[in-house]
Amino acid sequence: MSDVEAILPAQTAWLLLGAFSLLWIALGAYWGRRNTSFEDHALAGRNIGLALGTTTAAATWITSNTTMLAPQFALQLGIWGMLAYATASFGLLLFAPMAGRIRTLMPHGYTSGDFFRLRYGRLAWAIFLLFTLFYSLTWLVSMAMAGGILLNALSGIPYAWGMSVILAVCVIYTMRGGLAAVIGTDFIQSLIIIAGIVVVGFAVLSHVPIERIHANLASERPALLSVLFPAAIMAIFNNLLFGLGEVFHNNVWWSRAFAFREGVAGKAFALGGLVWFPIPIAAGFIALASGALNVAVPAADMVGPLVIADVLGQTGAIAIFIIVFCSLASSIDSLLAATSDLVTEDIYRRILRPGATPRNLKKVAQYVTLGLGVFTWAICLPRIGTLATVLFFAGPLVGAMIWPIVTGLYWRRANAAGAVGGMLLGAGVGLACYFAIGWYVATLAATAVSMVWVLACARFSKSRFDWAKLKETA
Amino acid sequence: MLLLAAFGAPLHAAAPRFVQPGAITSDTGYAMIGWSADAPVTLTMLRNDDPATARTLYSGSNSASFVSGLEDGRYTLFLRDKAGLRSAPLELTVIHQPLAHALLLVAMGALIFLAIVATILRGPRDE
Repeated sequence: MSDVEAILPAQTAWLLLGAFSLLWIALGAYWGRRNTSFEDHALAGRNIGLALGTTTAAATWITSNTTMLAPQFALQLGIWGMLAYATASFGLLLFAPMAGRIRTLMPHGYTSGDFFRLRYGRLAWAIFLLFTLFYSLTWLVSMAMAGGILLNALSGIPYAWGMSVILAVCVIYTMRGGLAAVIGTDFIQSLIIIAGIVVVGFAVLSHVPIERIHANLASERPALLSVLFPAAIMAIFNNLLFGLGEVFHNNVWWSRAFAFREGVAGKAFALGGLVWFPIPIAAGFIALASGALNVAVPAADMVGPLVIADVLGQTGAIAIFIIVFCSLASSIDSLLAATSDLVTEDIYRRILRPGATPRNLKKVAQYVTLGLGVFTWAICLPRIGTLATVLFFAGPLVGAMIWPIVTGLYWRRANAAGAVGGMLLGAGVGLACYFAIGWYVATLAATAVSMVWVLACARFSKSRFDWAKLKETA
Repeated sequence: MLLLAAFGAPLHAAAPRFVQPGAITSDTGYAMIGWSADAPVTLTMLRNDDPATARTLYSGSNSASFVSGLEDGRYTLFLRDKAGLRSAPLELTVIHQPLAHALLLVAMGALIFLAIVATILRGPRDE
């Protein structure tokens, strides 16, 4: 990425960064003005409607990875790579029925940690917290780091400044406005991202006909069109299961399930998944056109911005800068809010201060958000490199949690031994495969082992869980 | 000599060279090719030493190029700058992973995925 020349003047980039930063902070302050309790702050009063619900599901899942890594996947793994990336939408689509079930079973729930604690007991809860905090913090740090690197690559803004500004802005409006601010800004950010991607897609098509793109790929990059491209077809289900594990376990999604109005969650996640599905395909298509457009690609992860800048010139450079900024903000704010809620609810309230008042909990959540921001900033500042590989490392951890969650929500005979063993054995075998074979089988192996163990334990279980235990009130 | 210096041309321009220490292999059909050069270069690639397959991948001042979508084969890459100085060749061997291995993983992934979908869509079993 360092080999790529900036495509946008730094002065223009600073103006855009300043304008959008002020907008998000002002909106965060406005939407957060009525928050008085932890429930208001963490779950937006459990009153989010369908439009906001749909856009926040889509926007949160559109990370900088979607806009930058989807083109890279397409350039590396071709048509299958593009589709493999798009399978991450199945996470949202399948979470739709689960979210309705979660809302029914846990009308007073706050976090995914609550589910593990009440459903499987403290040992499973502790393992879950360990896994999810590793995953969430890695995702948060990698997003903030990507923010600094991308803003620097696109505009020449120094890495430390770009990373600090984007992180500070997200911390300020999330602290002030809580989940309401996150969901509100997500709405605007998702509209900007979707409009941007659509415009760019049509602009590329108007520059080069699809027949020429196909002819160029067939002659110069034939494997990208191959139905039997081994690395690409291997990536399909590994990526799909990684996406399922990410969505099924993480509090980013559970907090939304709790925050949506009665009857909204299922529809919102299903629509969010449908809205998200074409985004990586459109972004990936841009990369496949790079050869026909004769765009030189010195680094795979910059293919999207380079093609857009080539097709749309200065306007394209501004568009991609805004799209990247919105993608980063819509994910960083969600992670800050969801992780701070998890720490506040699962560690502060459940372990340290069971008698804390709602107002006190809201204050703690705000300080935890600030602490997470400072922690992330301190890790990111030295620019130790990309953490994308570490995020792949989390694949076995999230894959191993799929079956304990799914069976725990639907089967009374799913039990703690199954959940604990499934998570530990799945993660262990998955990590061993990660090092012995490669990242592209790690999540798959973890999910497979976890599945066998969880199903076996459920099959021979004599216990039957009482669903009423999940209806714990604060 | 002064004239050359005034136009910024290096006095003793070195031939461009690849940064990769030796031959590279890929089981995915893609690779990042990096080089160092004092002047703009042209990157050319040919397959299985057949001159008829030679094609220009890049011309300009960048110092890297990403190639992808390559089928199984032995590829040879060269750099040439405007003064005609040529790099030592870089060999890239592409051997894709075994298809049977890939299809086995696909089948396994599909089975697990379908089991998850069935569990969710079937809903509560023993309430």
